[in-house]
Amino acid sequence: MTQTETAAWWASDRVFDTKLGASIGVREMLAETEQAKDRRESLEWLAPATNGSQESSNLELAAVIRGLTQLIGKSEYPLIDRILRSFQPGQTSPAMNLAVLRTTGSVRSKLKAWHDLVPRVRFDLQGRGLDADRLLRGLL
Amino acid sequence: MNDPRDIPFENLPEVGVAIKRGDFGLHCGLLYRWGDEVRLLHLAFHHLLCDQPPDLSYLWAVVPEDELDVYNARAFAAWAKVVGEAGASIPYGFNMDGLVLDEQGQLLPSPVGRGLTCATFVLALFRCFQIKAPAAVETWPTREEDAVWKSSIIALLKARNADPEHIQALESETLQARFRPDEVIGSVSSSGWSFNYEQARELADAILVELDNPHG
Repeated sequence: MTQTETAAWWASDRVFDTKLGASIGVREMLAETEQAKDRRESLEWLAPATNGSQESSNLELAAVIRGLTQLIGKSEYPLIDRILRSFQPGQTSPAMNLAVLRTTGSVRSKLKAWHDLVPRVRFDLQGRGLDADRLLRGLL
Repeated sequence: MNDPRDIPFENLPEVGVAIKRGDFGLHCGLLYRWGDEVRLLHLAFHHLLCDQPPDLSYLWAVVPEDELDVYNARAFAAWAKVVGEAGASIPYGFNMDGLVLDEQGQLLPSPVGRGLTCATFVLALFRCFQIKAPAAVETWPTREEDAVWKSSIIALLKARNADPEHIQALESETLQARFRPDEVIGSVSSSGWSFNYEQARELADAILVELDNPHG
């Protein structure tokens, strides 16, 4: 898959949404093994990061931060990379964008996609009329 | 600084700091909003990370919005909640180099003798979340008068049966630059972050006056 295809898959597929879990793309890519199933279920915390909301609740922010922190703790860098590569800044709130970047920023040297995500988030924040460079202080 | 008896903690928008005079000197922590609740996340002592509602013995202040905007503050408050929930077992220590963080700010299992104080814990929270440092830590001096404080902390660790290996490591290390609670809270709660030592000391002195006369 190209990066665009992967992003589209991630965005449309709702891998984290059990109601839409029958999505073909995910089934084809991940449902082959029990391990993949476990992983899919274990990523449900990511749903708020793709919910299209302009606001994120503190519960949603904490869920995503907690999930990413746990993946970092397990050194699941390829999976984090994949999450970041597929992350759509425009589909969630500015606070969620910043939470994702800052939580994973501590291991940025291990994440190629982190460096690609920063300008995408910056572009999105600018598109919302926000002072992106100020919001991203410490990350640029 | 606000006295919660005049301006209740409930006025906190997202993130703030709190400081008080405790039994063993100054003590400080991070305030954050969690729904309708305001909570205080603080390193009370050796392996004693607390996440609880603040009591009225603290003075408090908001982290200025020009240093932590509303979006980052919201994310940071959620980060504080996650840290509090995780309940990391953080040793008490003086060595800022160790800070139980790696060079990228990730909390790590600490080497023996390394650890945080209540004040460096607040700094570490910002650093771990990739937030610009409130204080230019490299400008802090080593002060001889902190040797007395260091000795009292070590005595307290011994009295509480802390790991002898940890105590030995603390005793054997040279005196470190100490980031006092009033200096850290003065820096975090003021606009113009990356304060050097002299600037932070001025801010800290103002806090000491307020602590002695909270109703000003």
